[in-house]
Amino acid sequence: MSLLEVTNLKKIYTTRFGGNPVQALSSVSFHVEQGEYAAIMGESGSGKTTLLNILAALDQPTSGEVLLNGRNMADIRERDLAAFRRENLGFVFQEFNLLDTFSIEDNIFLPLVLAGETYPAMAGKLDKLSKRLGIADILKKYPYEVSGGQKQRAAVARALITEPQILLADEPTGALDSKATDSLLRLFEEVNAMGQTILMVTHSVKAASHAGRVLFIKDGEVFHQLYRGGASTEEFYGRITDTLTVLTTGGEDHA
Amino acid sequence: MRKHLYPHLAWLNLKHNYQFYIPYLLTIVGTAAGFYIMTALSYAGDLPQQIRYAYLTMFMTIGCFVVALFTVIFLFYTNSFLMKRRQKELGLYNVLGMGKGHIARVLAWETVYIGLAGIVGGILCGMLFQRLVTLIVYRVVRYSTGFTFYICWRGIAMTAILFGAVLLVNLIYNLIRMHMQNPAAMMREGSAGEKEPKSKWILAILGVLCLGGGYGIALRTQDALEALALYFVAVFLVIIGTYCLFTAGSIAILKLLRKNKKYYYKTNHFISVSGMLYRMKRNGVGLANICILCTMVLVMISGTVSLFLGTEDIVNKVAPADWTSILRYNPADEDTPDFAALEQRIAETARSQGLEVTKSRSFTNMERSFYLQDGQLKQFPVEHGGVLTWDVQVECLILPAADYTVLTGVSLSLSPGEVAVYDPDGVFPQQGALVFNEQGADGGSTWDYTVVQALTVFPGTGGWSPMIGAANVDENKGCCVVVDSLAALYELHGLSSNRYVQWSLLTELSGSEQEKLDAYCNTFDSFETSPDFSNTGSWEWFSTESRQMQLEEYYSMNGGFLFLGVFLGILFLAAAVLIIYYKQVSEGYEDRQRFQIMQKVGLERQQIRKSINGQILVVFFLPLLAAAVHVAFDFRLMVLLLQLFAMDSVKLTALCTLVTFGAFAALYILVYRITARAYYKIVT
Repeated sequence: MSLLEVTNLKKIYTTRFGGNPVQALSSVSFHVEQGEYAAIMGESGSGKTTLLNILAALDQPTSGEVLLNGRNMADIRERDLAAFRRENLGFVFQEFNLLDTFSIEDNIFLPLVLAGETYPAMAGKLDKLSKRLGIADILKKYPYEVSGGQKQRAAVARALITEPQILLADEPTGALDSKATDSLLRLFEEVNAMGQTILMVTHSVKAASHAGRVLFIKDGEVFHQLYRGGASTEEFYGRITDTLTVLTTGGEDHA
Repeated sequence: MRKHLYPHLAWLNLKHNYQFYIPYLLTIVGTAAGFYIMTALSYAGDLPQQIRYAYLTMFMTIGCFVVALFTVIFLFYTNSFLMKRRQKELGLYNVLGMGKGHIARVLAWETVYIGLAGIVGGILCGMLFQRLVTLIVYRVVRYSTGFTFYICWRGIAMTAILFGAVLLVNLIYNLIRMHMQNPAAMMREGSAGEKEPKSKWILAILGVLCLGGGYGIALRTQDALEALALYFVAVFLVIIGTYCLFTAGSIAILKLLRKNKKYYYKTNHFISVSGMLYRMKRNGVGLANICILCTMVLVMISGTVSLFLGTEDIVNKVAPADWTSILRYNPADEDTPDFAALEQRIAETARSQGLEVTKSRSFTNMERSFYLQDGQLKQFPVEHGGVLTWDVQVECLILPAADYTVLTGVSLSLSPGEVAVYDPDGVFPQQGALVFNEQGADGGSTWDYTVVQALTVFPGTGGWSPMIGAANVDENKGCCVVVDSLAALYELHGLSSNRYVQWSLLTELSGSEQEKLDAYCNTFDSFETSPDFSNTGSWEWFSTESRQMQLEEYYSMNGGFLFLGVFLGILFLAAAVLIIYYKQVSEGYEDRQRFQIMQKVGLERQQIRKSINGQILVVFFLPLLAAAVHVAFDFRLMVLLLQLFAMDSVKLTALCTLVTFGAFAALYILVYRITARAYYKIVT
């Protein structure tokens, strides 16, 4: 059994006043295995964000199902959803989404506080994590006092502190400079090496080339996928670029 | 199209920001209407012209000034609040290529729209409610003559000028502000939290000193005149203290809460404490604003309501009968007054106006103060080693037993030398002598007495009452001493060489209140028509007061106070509600994104509601609590101030304060619920 099983996912948006329905996802199916590091690539409007929102239980599919660890997400009651997200999913966003009202430390504690954990338990978890992520010395600072790279590390810490089944990253390098991007991607590799499953949505080839597998989405479908196999990051980068070229220019010929 | 671009843009802006501009517009309409009504009333041609209604014009003029002052301050406050919120929007216009001159034109058009709608709407509302308000004013001052509707052109002009000027100054302020900032700075979203004020210790100490000073004045003030002199000093100190302490205190408390990890790391505390700390200065000042406005509303309404409701009591004390006639005479004169003849003349006067005397009572009394020294009550204190000291000054009302019975219905039987005493403070020696003129050439004289009975009822004699007089000076105590006979009273009069003894005649009449009033006005009220009291013996002074006349006078004054108090109370209340609304709605928009992020991280909907309730509860009930404490301390001052108006029923004042507070709290809870819902809707 795979950790995440997505079958025939379909999402149609209809406007409130009965305008033309928009099909964001037509039929998406894929699996993510335990411990995998997968990236989803696609252009703007390809349905990436819709897919991620459905995986994050922030949105419901029109049809199809999502199983996490064999559990159908559609079966979770509305009022248990928040707790489900908290316990099983970790999020990293493009805009970091740290709260200015909290120090970095409190931002990382947020999901645990929401889950009702005690301070000593939280502090113990953060202690291990902060050293690994290299943010031990900025814990007392506020988000507006630290750099973008540091913010994203803090956001990763917030996502990982609940020890989620799967880490969902939405364009995590989108707001970072190249140095911070490299450092974050290295961090993701390290985290993945320790067994954390990661699913990342991106349109940065560089970010995708660090993943173990890349899924390409076009027109609401999984159009193609690439496995890294034994390839180096540079080689994989080249293959992704080639695929993208085919995707944007070639169109119909399935590889 | 281009010609209409700026007016059109201005209109769209207002529409887009309706959640902030509708309340702003309502504020202008409301204050303009209030101001117009006040000016119209103060220039009104049909206000009662009699001298006893002279206060009314004065009250309305005071009202005008207060409303105008309040308008200026409050419109500046709301304007600067609105512009701060719109910075980003205006910055965007600038970045998109509109010059500052163009933005200025848009802003000017916005002001024109708001100004026209607000001022015209305000004056129209004012005219609409002018009739109603006039009716209410006439009702509370008990003036029954009809009135007509009129348009007060002067009021319209003054309203238009005042509000036009305030809005113009606001616009100029906004333009200057805009010119001093660059677009990038305008667009930058303030993400940094407010820094802790460096001077917080000074703030805290200043706050404690000011508040302590204000409360100290309230606790130490001893009499009405002192209260009047120091009242506004105390108010000023308490206001400053409130601002300092709310700012410094709220920050200190919030930081303490954050330090307490067990408390802080609970979902609803976590979100609300961090949110309040994030805007700690704004939070503190906002809470202080609300607290002060609440206190003002409570004090004004409870004070004026209790004064108004106490009017009958006051008049009953001053004029216990329909007609209260007071005569002063010296019993040593050979030709003592012919009391029966005087009573007869009063009855004839009534009959000449078509009224009958239904009840007539009379009594004689004397007032004298004594000094308690060495356990004796003395007419004059005696020097000890060059210093004049005494323990207590006792104001005594002295009257014969029969007259005490007339006034209170309590019958007493006393023998010569025996007295009955009403002595609530327990200062009157039980047995001894009254000492007169101890240091005189003949060594003075004494009058021996024994207290045989303690009285529980103080006789209301009308006119001067030692209870009111004595309450004004703390060291002085009031007593009533009942002697066995008129002869004993005359004896004491002789010993104390008082100027006069007072004889009072309380006359009740048949007929309606209006008839009684007319009868009085036709006879006693003017010198020409005054009845003839010649050939009734020798007396120094004789005058008659009408209960109905006193009622009119007191109601015209106290009713005027009530109107002003309630009118301004409502105005301040509306301001407090608006401040709360703006605070919550603007914070709601700021917090919206935060709540969305937290929901992504796993915040449950129920938790949102809980944490919002926690935060809003503090915002609402901390000021209310502080206002209650302020009012509690102010209560003593208010009681003293009310004594200036002869209102001395502490019970009534306490009741009015409690009821006002209860009603206010109920209204406050309503506002709380509405605001909480608005906030919740915005953030989810």
